[in-house]
Amino acid sequence: MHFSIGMDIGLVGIKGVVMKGENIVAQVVKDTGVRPALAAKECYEQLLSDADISSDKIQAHGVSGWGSKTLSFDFDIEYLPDVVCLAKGAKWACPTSRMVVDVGAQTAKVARFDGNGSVKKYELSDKCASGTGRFLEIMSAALGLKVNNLGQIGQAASKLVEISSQCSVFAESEIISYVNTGEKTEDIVNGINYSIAKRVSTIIMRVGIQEDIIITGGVAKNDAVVRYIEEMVKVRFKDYGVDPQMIGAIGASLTAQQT
Amino acid sequence: MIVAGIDVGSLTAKALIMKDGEIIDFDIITVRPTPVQSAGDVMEKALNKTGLKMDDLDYCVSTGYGREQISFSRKSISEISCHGMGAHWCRPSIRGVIDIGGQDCKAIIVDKDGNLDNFAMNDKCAAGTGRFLEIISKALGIDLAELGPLTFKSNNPLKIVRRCSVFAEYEVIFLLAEGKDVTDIGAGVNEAMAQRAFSLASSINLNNKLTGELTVTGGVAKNVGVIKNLEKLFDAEIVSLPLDPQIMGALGAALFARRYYEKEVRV
Repeated sequence: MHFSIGMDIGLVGIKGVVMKGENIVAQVVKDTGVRPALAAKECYEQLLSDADISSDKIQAHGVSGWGSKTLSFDFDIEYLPDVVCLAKGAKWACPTSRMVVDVGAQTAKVARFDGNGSVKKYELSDKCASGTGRFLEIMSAALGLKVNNLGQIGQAASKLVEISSQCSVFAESEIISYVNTGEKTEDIVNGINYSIAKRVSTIIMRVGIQEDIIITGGVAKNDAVVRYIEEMVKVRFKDYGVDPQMIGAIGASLTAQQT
Repeated sequence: MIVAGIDVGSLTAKALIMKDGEIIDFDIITVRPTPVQSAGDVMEKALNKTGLKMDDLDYCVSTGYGREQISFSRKSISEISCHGMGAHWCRPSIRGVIDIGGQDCKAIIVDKDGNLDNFAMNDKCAAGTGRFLEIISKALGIDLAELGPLTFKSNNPLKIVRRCSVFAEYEVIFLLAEGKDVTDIGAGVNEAMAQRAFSLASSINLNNKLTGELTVTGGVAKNVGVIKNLEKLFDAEIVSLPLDPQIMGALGAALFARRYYEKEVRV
């Protein structure tokens, strides 16, 4: 059985896995920070040490994600398209799935794929921060909350404070004005969760809905956003037992094995 | 004939009084809790200095976002028409106005009489507004006022690829981490900002259709680097106005008041 490493270098986090065939041996998440090359190198070294394996045992290396093109490594590496890795990883995480929605820090991606995990149709939004995890981070910082708590807080709301600005910068000013006019934090958070769900749903509808769909990326950890998207596009996301952030890295590792 | 223009914006309210076609006074205040209060207060302040009373006004026109609610104004007109009209009165050879404020950007074309010919506005996205420059100068660790001159100090302006303010901020942080020079990044930011305003203006063909002078107003007009880049993009000189550009809306409203007075009342 062959060992492979996959890394997904995002704007906020670097995700890495060591796989033996189809099984995960080790996984690491690191903050990208302001020096992505250094963080990627540290992630790689930690993967080797966690898996207790030397680098010459790794037969294939795959990297994808925003930072992949800007980095160089001292070993042969496959630079892989994000959407290809995403579909491959989704198919691995949930073998019956044929569609994946991925909401990361700076991109929302939606892809349909076949039984081999090959992409049939996709759309992505990476020009504007609305509809990305970065939007949630900015809003939670403005409210003095942890981004990981937004889902839970929003679900305690008694009403929805609708955010009219699509632009993250203007939406930040808007929610501060709601704080000043006495709106409750949970109701504002409810509006924030609703707002990002609406943006992501628009992209899903452009690709066309398909049953057997999963949701991945950091934002998939926000239950309130996930429920809103389900309501808006009238579908239920399938459960799978893997950290939703790791799907791209897993896909990179699997794709590198096959090339 | 005594006319007045009143401009109630989101941050400031302005009133301007004209007598027989000459400006006799104007005033600017920060807004009060409601547009009605802002309008009343600023008009009172402007009138006080002239010794005139509200009853002495022959006609008053209002503009700005609170324009519909002002009881002593007889008509309300959009701030875009007023802004263009005011700038044209200050410098009759002006045909193009680009107004870049903290929250929006407008490109305006006026005809030889100062009437609105066409306009484009962006108030949906912070890229291309003053907010973009605020965010980026903070990331660079410099004052907003220091950003403009960097264009003249840099020999190698760096290209800022991302349009979204949020992602451009990241781009700048990564450039700094790579050891790139603040001067070169700042110069690139001014270039990017000018490019956004130029794109907006090009959407109404202002770049090709400009038949007279071009001026830039709003807070971003104080950034000499953005102005320099806009001159390059338009291949034209950008002229400045002889009056505080903040007052252009109220001035335009007063000019409309004069026109309506002549049309409706005096005949």
